Amino acid sequence: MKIRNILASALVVGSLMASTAFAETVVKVTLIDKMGTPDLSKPLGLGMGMKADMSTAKMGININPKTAAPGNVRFDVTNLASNLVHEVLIAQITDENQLLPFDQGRNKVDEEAVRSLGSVSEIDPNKTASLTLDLKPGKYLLYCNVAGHYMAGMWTVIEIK
Amino acid sequence: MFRSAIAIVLGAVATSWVGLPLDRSFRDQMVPVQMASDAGRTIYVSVYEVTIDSWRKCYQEKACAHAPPVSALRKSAPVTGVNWFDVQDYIAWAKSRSGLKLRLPTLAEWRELDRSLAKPKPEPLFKDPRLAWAANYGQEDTPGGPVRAIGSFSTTPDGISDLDGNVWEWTSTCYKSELNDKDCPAYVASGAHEAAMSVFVGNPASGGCATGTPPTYLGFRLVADR
Amino acid sequence: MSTLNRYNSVVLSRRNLLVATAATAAAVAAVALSTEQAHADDAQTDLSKLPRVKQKLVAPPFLPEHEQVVTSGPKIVEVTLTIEEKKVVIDNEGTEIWAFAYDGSVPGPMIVVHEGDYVELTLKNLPTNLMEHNIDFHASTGALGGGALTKVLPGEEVVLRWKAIKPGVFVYHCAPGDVMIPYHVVHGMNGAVMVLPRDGLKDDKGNPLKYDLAYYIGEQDFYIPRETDGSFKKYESAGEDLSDSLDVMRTLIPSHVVFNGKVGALTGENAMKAKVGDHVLFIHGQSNRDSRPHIIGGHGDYVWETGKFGNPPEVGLETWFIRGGSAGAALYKFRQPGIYAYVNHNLIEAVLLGATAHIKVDGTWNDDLMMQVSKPGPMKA
Repeated sequence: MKIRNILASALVVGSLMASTAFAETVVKVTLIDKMGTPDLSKPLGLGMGMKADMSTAKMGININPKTAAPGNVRFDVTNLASNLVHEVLIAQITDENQLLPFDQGRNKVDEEAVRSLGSVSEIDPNKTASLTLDLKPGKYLLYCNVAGHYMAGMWTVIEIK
Repeated sequence: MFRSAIAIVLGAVATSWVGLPLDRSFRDQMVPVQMASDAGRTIYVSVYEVTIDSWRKCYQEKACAHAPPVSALRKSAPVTGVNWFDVQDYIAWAKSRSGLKLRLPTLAEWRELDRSLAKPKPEPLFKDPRLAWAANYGQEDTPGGPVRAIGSFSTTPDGISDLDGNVWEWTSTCYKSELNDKDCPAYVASGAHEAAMSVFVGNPASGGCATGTPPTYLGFRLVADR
Repeated sequence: MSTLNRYNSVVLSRRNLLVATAATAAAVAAVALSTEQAHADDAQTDLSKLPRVKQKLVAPPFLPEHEQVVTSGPKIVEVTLTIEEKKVVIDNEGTEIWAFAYDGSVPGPMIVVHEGDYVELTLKNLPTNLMEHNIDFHASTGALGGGALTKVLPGEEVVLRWKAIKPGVFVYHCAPGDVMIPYHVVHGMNGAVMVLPRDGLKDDKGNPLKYDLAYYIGEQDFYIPRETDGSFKKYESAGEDLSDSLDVMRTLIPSHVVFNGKVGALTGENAMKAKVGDHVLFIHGQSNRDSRPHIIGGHGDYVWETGKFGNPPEVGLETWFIRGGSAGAALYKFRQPGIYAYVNHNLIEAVLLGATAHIKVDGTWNDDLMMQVSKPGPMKA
């Protein structure tokens, strides 16, 4: 009688865990690139925390929804650029006003210093690729680290709560 | 101890006999309206059409088989897509939960409630009797668009809301008056205009050929006799 | 006219030979004629001497002001199209799409010129837009219809001039490249051009045909993705629906087929109007998918089904065929008052998907054409 109870409760707990594992939020990520074939030799100063006028940015990332529940989050990333290949890296941040460690010479975010939880790379124009991550509550930065793109405005923050 | 035992037994008997306590919310959402016809009789009329939230309660208590539709609105919305039989299920449940004599309004009652909303009769497009088929084109001023929250349309001086909305309401009047208490295949639904709706239909098709727009959505509201 | 025998070779009989000779002579003459024609088209006009006219484009179903017959010479017609990515509602249930709209309308406005005129287009892509766009004019010649020369990023504009060498009604649409070509077209990015013969329209016998009114009906097929519960998806910004849309587009089954951008856009208050005696030209464009227009209660007196005025119109048609990727034109003189429906006569598409327009016609009823001899009443034994 007792063993049966234990097995039964284990089954219930197991099925509950399994059901939460399959629950997934989908976030649509659209990569905007209005630059065509740009000259990005110098950083354009439109990164996170730089208090720049983001309305002048010609690259960007749109996300829908802007917040998601903790757990499995699937990012469906579509590249709307007409010419350039783009990518998305995801890193946890503490504060939207913080400046990211930046390699001026390479015109890229310092990927050694900013640990990414996952990435979707080399997305051709008009193509879509997906990435699923198990995210805990907090703020996360999505950004493209092709040279010059982050500073051109190609980043956004999603809040998991 | 003996007394408490009797109290427990009596309490158990009382609860099982009466069932759950009566739901006062039905009565709270109705207003009295004096009918000019029928010797000034007063009936109670629901301020709003039956909502998805209320329908969901019926569904959860397994008295209604039709699953409530999903609403993207944050506020309460009228339930739609319900056919005649669904409506009868709900009314049976609502009567037992409220203890009131709830029913659908008759077409005559509905018309009277609606009379207070001023509706100027437009000039017909064509006066020639040979063009009677085209005379009322475009004049059925039916609000389109998606289902809106309750209270989105006009309120009559009596306090009844949304009679002029885009949800048509079932009445208990058969399209053929001689079949009123018998096996009626279609009852009149009223809204921006009146339409005979088959008892099986919950979702009248929209769009159409030349003239005459069917109801956008089908819902209902309740009345109660004194 | 040669005859082919079982061996698939031309049998030369005396009759055939005569016919063949005549045919050759005609062919030689035709080649000579076409060479002349080609030279006329290729003639290097001194464009600086041509008059310039600004054409004010208007929202469909109306056409810009124009003459049907022109007596003066060719001119350069200047037009501007501004591309706007905007969220529009396409039916009465609140279904939305991020449309890519030339001059903010689906379809884009109609341009009207005459054979031999030049169209000089300034194409602008608003800086608030998110994508690159361009334009392909089916009436033009070269560079992918102008598509290769008109690619503009948001915030840019370009000027293209093309010569209208072929008379007829033609569609134009966006064609950025790869999957974006169908994606943009089914997001409303198309319109039409009418190139009238300089001496106006003619019937099958060469007599002049005039229209009192003209309407441009742009038919649009939409492929809106659905949620798992069947409701239509909504998106926050243009382009967000790309991968979902491509999945629906691949089924080749539209969720909506509409006139003028929305279910019911040309009905009720916005129904087309005419009166008995009016000759009305209905121009029907479909940049992607076949259609078969029919005037319920009327006919096509003169129909250029393929839309090209170099061909004599067909007469007295019931329903005509608009092949996807083209425009056609039909001229009808209304003879009875009342309400007419103008539909894509796949009636599932007309009623369930939205491809219906209405025409309100004033005038006096003609009992000779139709009369209700007796009213409906109980059947006689």
